[in-house]
Amino acid sequence: MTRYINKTEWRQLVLLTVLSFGIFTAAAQSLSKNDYGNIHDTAKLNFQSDSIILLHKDQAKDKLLQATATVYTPQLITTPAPSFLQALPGRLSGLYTRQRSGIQDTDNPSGVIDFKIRGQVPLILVDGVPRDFASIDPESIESVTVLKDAPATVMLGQRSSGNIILVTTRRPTAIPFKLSFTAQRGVQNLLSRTKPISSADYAILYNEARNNDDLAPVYSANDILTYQNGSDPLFHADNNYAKYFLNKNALLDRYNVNIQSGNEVAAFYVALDYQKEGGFFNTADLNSYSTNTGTDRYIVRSNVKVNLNKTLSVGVNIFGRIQNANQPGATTSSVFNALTFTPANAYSIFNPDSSLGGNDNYSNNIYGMLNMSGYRKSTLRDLSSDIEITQKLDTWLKGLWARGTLSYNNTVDQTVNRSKNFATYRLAINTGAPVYGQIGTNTAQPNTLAIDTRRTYTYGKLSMGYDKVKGDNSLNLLLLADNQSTTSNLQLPSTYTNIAANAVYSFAKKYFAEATVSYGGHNRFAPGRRFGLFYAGALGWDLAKESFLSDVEWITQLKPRFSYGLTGNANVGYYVYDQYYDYWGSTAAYYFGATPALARGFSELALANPYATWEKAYKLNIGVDALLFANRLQLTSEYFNDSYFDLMQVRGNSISLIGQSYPSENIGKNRYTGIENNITWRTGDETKGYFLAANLSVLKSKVLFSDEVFRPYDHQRRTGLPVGQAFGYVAEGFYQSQAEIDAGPIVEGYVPKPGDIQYKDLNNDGYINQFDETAIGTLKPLIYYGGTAGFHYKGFDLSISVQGVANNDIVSSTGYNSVTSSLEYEFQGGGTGQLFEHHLGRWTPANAAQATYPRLSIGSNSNNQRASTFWVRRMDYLRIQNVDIGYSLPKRLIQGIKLEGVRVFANGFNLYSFDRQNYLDPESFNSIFPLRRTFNFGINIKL
Amino acid sequence: MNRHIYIFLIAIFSVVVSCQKLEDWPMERIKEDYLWDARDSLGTNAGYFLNTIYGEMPTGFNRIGGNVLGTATDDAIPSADNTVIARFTSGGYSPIDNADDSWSANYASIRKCNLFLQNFPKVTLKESIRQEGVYWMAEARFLRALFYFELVKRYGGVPLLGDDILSLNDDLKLPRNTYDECITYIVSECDAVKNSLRPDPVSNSDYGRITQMAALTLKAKTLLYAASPLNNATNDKSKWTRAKDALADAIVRAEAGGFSLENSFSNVFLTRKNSEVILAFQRQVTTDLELNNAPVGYVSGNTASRGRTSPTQDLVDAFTTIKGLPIEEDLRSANNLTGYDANNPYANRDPRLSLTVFYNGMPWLTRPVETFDGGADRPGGITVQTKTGYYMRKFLGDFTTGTAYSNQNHNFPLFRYADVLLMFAEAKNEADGPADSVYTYLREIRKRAGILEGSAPALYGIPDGLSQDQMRQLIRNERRVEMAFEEQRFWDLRRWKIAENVYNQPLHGMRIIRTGSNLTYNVEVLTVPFQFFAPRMYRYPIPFSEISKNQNLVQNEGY
Repeated sequence: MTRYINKTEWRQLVLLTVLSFGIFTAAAQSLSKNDYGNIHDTAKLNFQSDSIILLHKDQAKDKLLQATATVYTPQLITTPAPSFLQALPGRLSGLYTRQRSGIQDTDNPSGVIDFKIRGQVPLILVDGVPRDFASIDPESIESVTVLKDAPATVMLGQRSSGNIILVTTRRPTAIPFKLSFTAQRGVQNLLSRTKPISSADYAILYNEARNNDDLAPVYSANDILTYQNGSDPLFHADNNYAKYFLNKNALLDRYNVNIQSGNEVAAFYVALDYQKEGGFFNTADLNSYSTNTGTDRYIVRSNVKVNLNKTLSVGVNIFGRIQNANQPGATTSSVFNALTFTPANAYSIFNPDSSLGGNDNYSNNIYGMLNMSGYRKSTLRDLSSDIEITQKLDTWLKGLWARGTLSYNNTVDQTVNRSKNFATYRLAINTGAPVYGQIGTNTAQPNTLAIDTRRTYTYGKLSMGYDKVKGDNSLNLLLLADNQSTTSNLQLPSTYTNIAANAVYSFAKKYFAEATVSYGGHNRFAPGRRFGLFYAGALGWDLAKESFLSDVEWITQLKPRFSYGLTGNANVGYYVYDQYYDYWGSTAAYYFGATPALARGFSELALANPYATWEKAYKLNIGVDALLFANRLQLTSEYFNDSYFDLMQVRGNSISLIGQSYPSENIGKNRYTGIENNITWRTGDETKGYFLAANLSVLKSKVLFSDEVFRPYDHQRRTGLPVGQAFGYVAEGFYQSQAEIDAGPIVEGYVPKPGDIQYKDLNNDGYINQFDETAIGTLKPLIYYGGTAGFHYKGFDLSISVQGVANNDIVSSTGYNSVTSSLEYEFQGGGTGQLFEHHLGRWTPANAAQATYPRLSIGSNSNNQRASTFWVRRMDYLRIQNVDIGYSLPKRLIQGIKLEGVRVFANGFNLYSFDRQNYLDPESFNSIFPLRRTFNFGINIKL
Repeated sequence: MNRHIYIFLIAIFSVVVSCQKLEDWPMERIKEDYLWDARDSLGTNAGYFLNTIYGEMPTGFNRIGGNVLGTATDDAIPSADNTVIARFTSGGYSPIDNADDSWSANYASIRKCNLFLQNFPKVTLKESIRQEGVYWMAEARFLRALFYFELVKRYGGVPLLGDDILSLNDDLKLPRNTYDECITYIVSECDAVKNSLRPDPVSNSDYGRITQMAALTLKAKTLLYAASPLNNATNDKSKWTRAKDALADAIVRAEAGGFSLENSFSNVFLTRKNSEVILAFQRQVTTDLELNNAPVGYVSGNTASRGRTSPTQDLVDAFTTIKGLPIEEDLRSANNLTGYDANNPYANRDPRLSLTVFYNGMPWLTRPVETFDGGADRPGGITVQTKTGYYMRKFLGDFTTGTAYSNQNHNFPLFRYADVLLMFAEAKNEADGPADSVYTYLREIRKRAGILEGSAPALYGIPDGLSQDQMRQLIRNERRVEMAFEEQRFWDLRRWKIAENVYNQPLHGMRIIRTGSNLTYNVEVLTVPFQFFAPRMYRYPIPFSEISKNQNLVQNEGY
């Protein structure tokens, strides 16, 4: 089922499209050929670049043997979103993304977006160093490359298994003065899919659920009638909270100016960026301060490179960011929670005396949360500085160089908490004067400061290289030692140290070989068990350079390549090699004495694992690169087979007779295999051209070993199935009658009633119990894909990118990858939760045949709400991720005012998705924050 | 110029690289050598470790999803719907779903005991407190035995670990020991420590520590369980005799140690240090029991009481009249004005009734309890409220007057002297028939309860010359009434092997209709499920997660 677009959204979409096209066509008609200004690059794909940025080095493209994929600035700046990471979905072959939540004001990319490369969570490096900021201006990013195989990552030693997203900021180059100014305004709206039901329906269903549970109804016929006709809003409220308290739109404004300039001696790139994100809450103007959400972000960046003399150059990058965010004192997430899960009839928002309504079950009046709970202001400050010094040592040996790199980053996130509590009042009118019962208290507004995060990242590297070309032979050698240390809050630094060597050899640009070794250590392992050896090698052969293909003109490159290596991943807790004991002083459980005296305690913490070592993987990658038809067609295909072993897992047979929690041990073995294909067709010149790019990845995983517990039946076994396979019961419709229940198997621990989900007795023992659980949801490999297409013609340019996932099944039950139960089940939160439209399809004797949902009950139902095929949701989707349309003014119009180029543009983000879900988002299904759609327009001026 | 640049750059590098000098492990973490420090002559840290074990002793009250264990017996039902404890009576516990599963918690506590027993000897206490160290060792051994008792009570025979501290490399797939082996172990541990524990009575500051009397009581209780029909299928009289002897020992020691029945029944639960409690889980003073269990119409401060427990009519009917006679026998009539009157059912009853349940009209805080339909404590609608017309009153402070709750002592009694006397009466009656001592102790308990003495040969409503079976029924009823909500009946019904008959019967509640100022009392049948599947429910299932990890563990019958 596809999802709806509401009228307003359509209107905005159409209006923007018509408006943009109107301007463009009008302007276009007055123009002649070849006199357009600076055509924006968005409609082009840069693969003309000769080299690609890899870990610790730039690699000439023709020598590239690693599995990688790259996007450049132009593809990043079309996405109107706070973080450049949101521009990545679908654009990089092999990168799986899932936008988990639409929450605003967060700088933690992994809190919002899941990234996976070949099934692993990648490390995000900015200019080679892990840093905290994903929320930066995309204009300052030169490229984003994903590194996917062993040779690409192995120099990271104990962090090389997880693959890498490598972000490189703009490098200063020797070009004349260029200034680019962009101003844009985005309009965001929430793509909420939850459809709450009316008070009358709620009351009817509540009674029905009580009746199902053999309980007396609580709403009288008169109550329901009153809900229906709305004649008593005070005691029979029918609230539409989203309508009352959410604005349709929130603004996202951004201004960016960047300057590039340089000559042989010095070059620089500086940028200033300001972004303002508005909030969705409809707050009343009660306070002198804002209680709405909102974020202001200021960024300054300066990347400078100076050649101090003929052999010595110094690069200095300085980045600073301040991000101020505001939210209501009750917190954004509590407000969204209340908006989503408060039934329409919970309370009347105001009492007749204008105090806030509430009662014992629903004491958090949303109006109060938004306007009377004070506010919280957080400030995030980052400072990052890198210095890189390169000395050419040609005087000693031609082609020899040495380099020192230092990087220091500091992030502090602090919150000023000025939140307060407010009272609500339970109104009762029995006889005589109304009685107001106070619930909660109005408290004074405190003023406290909390440091939420304080992190420091330091990095130092010394490297030495030797580049030599002699005849057909070309050799590049690299030797490096680096040390990266992260200090997070009060913890001791987590330090990774590597010594690595890399050699790349090619002969006649035909035969290529590369070898890398690294000796990497991590300080969280037991002394003497900290360093390990990792290695990788790769071979390639460009057939196009062979004589038998040299006269085939349409083939520029046809390079099969092969790589293999051993990578590592330090997945270890905080100094777990020693046994620790915990001290509790203030919270005690037992009070000695005739007058109670607090008894302090010590207890043993989880068992230590002194033998913990890094996880390892043997990674095989076979790929082919092809450049065809005068470089217009580029093809890349990869096959990979990654065998992970020594994975840190708690043993399956964790027998509790030991009396203590088990530590993670190096137990698991998983295998990930798959293919990744990327195809790009690009043609055109300055005035016209088009491109198409598509990528498709297939990922298959298998648990090879996990110390699985004894399973008496084969259908219960997890080993051999995909990693993270969901398990549950096989649902077989609803019990339609008591007779059917009596004839069926006994459900252990539950007495079924008609309308309950019926399960298959897989082991035929007459009982429905844990032995009847089996793999549910698809076993097929996960497929994810993306596509981008665009053209430019005269001054116009247009690009569209789509992205999608297939074979993705989600099971509603507990667990990370599951639907939030309160969005799926009825009357959650101890029976006080909201109902949604899909609950109307519940089983009743009357609609037994058409029921789409089991009989209702209040609160939890251990039979219906267990993981089963009934709750498997197919989360396949195809999403129009990004559309960007622009028009560049003709040169002759702007030359008079000394401008290099002027481009007006409109773009959109997260525009439309095709999927099968009604009330759940295929990506953010376990978040109460709906994803956002953004329409954005702006102007870019260059001089 | 160039040279200066290099010197400058090298200087920066060396400063930045060398500036961090930190410890190599988190020194704020506590390690073994600190905890069991041989030089800790006061044993402070080791003492703290023992305190933690104390904190893991069994406790009671609203502990299972907010409900008392009594709501899984015929004494009460939970007021709320869909509680986890309701599953005990609507399909029973299963290997994957048991709200009172304590398998791993008890083994975790046993590990702590063994850690203490193995490591504490490393600590050299100063001479003046050496004896304290001896007590501590004995306390840890007692506590270990207590945790085994909790396991055996629930699961039957369990693996006995002895003094071993299991480690990751050990063979952990241990089989179960037999029920008898476990009983023997618990009893022998109690015997081993009974003389090295603190003698009774203890000083005020040591109150709450394990004493010699506690060890004797645990031993006796263990033997009583082992002699009971569930565990004594052949009705081997010698088992009853052993239990009786152990109980007799305990009574002798109790008298020497200053134990006696408290004068006031309510003092047993509210006075922190009293002459009756042998061992209690000692808690901070709180109002949690009042807030959890008092009738829902009462607001103390700004907090409404939650009325979580709804005692049944069946429990209320078990309370005798003030003369100690069953309500069916002692009916009100013109010449028996203190008899039971169905139209005024709470008058002239065993005084323990008003200390065990809230019934309509009882004074509390600012007004009488209103559990008639539409009353403040039974208002109807969606609020959680009584399902039976009663609320649980036991353990609560005396707030028959006053406007708000104040902090009370709410220690959960694990062993008390009245229990010892009742257990003795039971064991004696089973071993030797209704001897004089049985009558004596039962009458002492009734006397303390406030039952009228009456006249011989039926003092306190107990006529002389009862048959063994009549006496058995009387003891069981007395135990139900005296020990209500103290987590006894749930296990008693099982060890007496009568659960299959007590459960699977309808439970009853009281529906009171008020017309004007007239109240009509109607006993109604409750519709809540009240099932017991024999024989499997006599034992808890061993958690499925353990069975599937350890093929040497044999699951209890029927699961």
